[in-house]
This record gives sequence, C-alpha cells and structure tokens, in this order.
Amino acid sequence: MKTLWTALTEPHRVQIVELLRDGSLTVGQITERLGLQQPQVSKHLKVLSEAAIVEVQPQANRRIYQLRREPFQELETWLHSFRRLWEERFDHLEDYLVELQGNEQHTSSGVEDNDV
Amino acid sequence: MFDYRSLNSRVGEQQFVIERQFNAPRTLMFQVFTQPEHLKRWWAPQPYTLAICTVDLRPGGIWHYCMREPLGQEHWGRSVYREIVPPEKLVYTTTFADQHANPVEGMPEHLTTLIFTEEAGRTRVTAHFQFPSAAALSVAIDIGILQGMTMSWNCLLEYVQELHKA
Repeated sequence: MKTLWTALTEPHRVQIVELLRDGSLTVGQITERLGLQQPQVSKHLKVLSEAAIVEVQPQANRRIYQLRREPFQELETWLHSFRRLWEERFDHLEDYLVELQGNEQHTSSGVEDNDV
Repeated sequence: MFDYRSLNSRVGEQQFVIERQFNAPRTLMFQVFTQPEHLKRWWAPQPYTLAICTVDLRPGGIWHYCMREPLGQEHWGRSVYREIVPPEKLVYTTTFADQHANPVEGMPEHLTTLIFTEEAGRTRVTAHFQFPSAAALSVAIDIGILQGMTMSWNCLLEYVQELHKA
C-alpha cells in the first residue's frame, strides 16, 4: 500500500495536486493540462485517492476530483510543530549557554556588558 | 473555510527559516552544534534526552543520535554532513534511522543549512530548512517527523494507516 508520503514522491502526482489547488477537475481536464495519457492520469489519481489526498465526486456521468482538506491541515500542523521544536531547542540552547559561560564570567566579570 | 492558497503560498516555497541571536562567541556556537557532549545538553526536545550521540565531523560523515523518552521509547536520527566551514556554516541532510544509522525506508530527508554570523560579540544562528520537491506535501512524512516527536513511532504508523483508510 502506498503511504501518504510516497504518494507524493512522483512529480506528476505533485503536479496534479497543484492543479487541483485551484479547483476540482475531471480526469479529462487533468489529462489535457498535463499532456499525459488518460490511463496514466487515472493511475496517478488512484494512488492519490488511496493516500486520501484527493476524493472523487460523481456528477452525472463524470467523475470530479478534488483535494481533501485533511492532509493540508496536517501539513500546516506539522510545519507549526517543526518550528516550535526548533524554537524550543533554541530556548534550551540559550539556557545552556548561560550555564556554560557562567563559570567564565566569574573570572572575567562584565562580559555581558562589554560586548554590546 | 480552509484556505488552500494561503497555505500553499508558504508550502510552495518548500523551505523556511528560523533564526535567533545568542549571547556567545561564534566559535563556541559552532562547538555546541557539533560536539556530542554539548549536544547532549540541549538538542533533545522535552521530555526526551539525547541518550546517544556520535559525530563524525567531515563531509560525508554521519551524525547519529538517539532521543529517548522517560518511558524508554527511542527515536533514532541520522544526519549526513555535506559542508563544514567552521565556525561559519554547517550543511547536513537529516532522516529517521535505526540504531545502526540505516535510514528508515520511505522517509525523505530534509536539508538543513546553519549559518553562524558574528554580531558584536554575539552570534546569530540562521537555520534554513529545505524539504524534498514532493514537499508540496511531502505532506506527511513530514507529519512523520513531527508526530514522531509527540507520539511513539508505532502510534504514528497506526495513525498513517488510519489516514489511508479514511
């Protein structure tokens, strides 16, 4: 089974996601814009559906593809957490540097004032 | 209503920057980022500890570490140095790994560039992160990296499986 992330290691699938960002499309429309063969596009859409990145809405005899919201929200959450992780890391580092240089500052007082 | 466009204007860049100025000389800053005895003191996020940390500081050399939860759950990370310019610059790729430093399959790497700039006796550290081109959504690996910080690896795998079923 394709994992969520390996689903997006394929450049055409990334392009499909980028196209769908602007609104939902049929297989035919996607095929036309990417300049690929329809079976190829259908295969990519299947992978994207299985990875829960796109969903399909039948409309009369057409199948309309659109992005699902959840993976994008996950991404936003992730970016936020990644940033927070580094902010926290930098907080630790600040504390550690104070501790590390604290000893030196006893012998050469006023380091903090002199370097500003 | 969720706005895909606002998100993508940021995600589309596939990279972002975090920076901070520290009250320490540049040579020391470079050391705390590259020496295991220093890294053990600050690298791991709460409630983790950096239980194991080895650094082979040369281009192509591996920085391998283990972050351990209080209950013993372990996450191994592996970075490979690309560029080392003491005390100015450090470039490396990072991915999840096992205890033998083999990368976890299917987990894309991200590239980190650290720039150390002297500013009147202090040092500005600029961390520049670049994600794989699939980043439009390397969506979820990335979920992986992040969630791995807050939940156990197994929980993460279950979670991803669930996402698939949904």
